[in-house]
Amino acid sequence: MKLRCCAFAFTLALAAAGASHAAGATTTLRVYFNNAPLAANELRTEADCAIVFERQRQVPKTEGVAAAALRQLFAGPTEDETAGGYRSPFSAATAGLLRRVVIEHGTAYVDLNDPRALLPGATSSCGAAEFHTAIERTLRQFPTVRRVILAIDGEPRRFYEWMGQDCDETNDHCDAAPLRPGR
Amino acid sequence: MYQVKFYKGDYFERQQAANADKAVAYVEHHFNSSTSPSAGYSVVVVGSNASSTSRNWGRWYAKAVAEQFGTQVGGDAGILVGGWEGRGDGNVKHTRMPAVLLEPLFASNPQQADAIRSDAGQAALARVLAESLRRFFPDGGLIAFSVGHKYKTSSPNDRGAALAGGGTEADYAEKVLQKAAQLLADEPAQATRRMLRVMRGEQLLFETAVDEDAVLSWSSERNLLFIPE
Repeated sequence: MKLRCCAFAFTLALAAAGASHAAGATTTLRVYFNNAPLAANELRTEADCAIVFERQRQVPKTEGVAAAALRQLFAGPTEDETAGGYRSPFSAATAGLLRRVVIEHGTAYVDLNDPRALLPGATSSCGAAEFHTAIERTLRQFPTVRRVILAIDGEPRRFYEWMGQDCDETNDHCDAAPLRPGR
Repeated sequence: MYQVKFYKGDYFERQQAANADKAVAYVEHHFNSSTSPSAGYSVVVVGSNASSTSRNWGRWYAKAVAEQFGTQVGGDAGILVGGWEGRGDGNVKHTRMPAVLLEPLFASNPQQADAIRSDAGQAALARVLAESLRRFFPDGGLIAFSVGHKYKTSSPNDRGAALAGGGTEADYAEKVLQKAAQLLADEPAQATRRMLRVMRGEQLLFETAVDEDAVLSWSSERNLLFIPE
C-alpha cells in the first residue's frame, strides 16, 4: 500500500513537471508578488494584503517545476519589478529558503530552512497574508497542487507554532511523515 | 479596581496561566507589517471561537485607534475572526475570557513607525486600550497582558517585525502595555456600564448590562426586545 502511495505521488510530481529533457529548452513559470499601486488602480483597494499579481520566469527545463517556481519566488522581485511597484516578503536574502517540496495526493509539503530571523514580519496578519498567498498562488499554477502545508527544518509544528496556528485538520495535525527523508 | 499581570512563555501557556488566574480580559499586543510602506490600517484579531464581547471590544478598539491616528480600520469592520486563515488564532482562542490580539498600526509604515517610537504615540495607544478595558470590563478585575513575540520559550530571540527607521515590534508593544497598565492602576473602575432596564412607572422590574455598542430592537408582534449577536 505504501509503495502504491509513493508511486502515485511520483506520478503526480511528474505530471506537474510536464517532464521533458530537451537540451537547452526552457520552461515558463509563474511567481506572484504584491503591488499596492496596481491593486489601487485595478481593484480600487490597497488594504487587502492577499492581492498578488503574476510575473513570469524562464528557467531551464526541469522535472522539478514546483521547486523551481518556489526558488524563483523566494529570490524576490527583480530590480525592474521593484521599480514597477512589485513587493514581496522574499528577496535575495531568502533565495535559499527552500529545502524541498514534496507533492503527494494534491498536497504540496514545503520544507523551509528556518525563515524566522529572515522574515520577522511574516506572522503579522498582513505579513502572513502576503507570505502565504505568494506561496499558494505560485504552487497552485500546477494542477496537481490543491493545498499547501509548510514546515521548518522538516517540522510542520515548528512552522505553525511560529504562525500562531494550532495543529489541526487544516494542516494534517502537523504530521511530519510526508517530509521524512526517503518519501 | 484593575490588576494587571504580564504573562510570559509560549502563547498557549500564557493563555492557560491567564485562565488559571481567572483573568477577566486578555490582551496580546502586536503591530502589523507589510511589504507595502503605505499599508496602514488598524485591525484586531479575535479567536475563531470569539464571544460577541471579544468581537465588539475588538471593533471598538480598532475604530478608536483609526480615529485617533487618522487611519482606516481593516478586516471586517476592524476585526479578523480567527486571524488571516487561522494565522494568529492560536494566540487567543485558548482563553476562557474575552481576548484580543491588537495590531493598531503598521511597523512597516514610516509615519506610523515614527508614532510607535514616540512617547506621545505610545501614550495615545495606551489611553485607547485602557479606555476600551474600562468600557467593556467596568467591574474591574485581573487584566492579562501578553507582549507579542517577546518572552517565548520556544523562540526567545523573536522580537517580531522591524520598525521602519529602527526598533522592533515587540519592544514597543511592551512599552504601550506598560503605559496602559499604569493608567489602569492609577484609576479605579468607573461605573459607566450601559444598562437595560424594564420599568413599571418608577418600579424597576428587570435590569441587565448590555454592550456599549449593542443595537436594541423591539418586536411589537412578539413583545420581544432583541439584541442581535
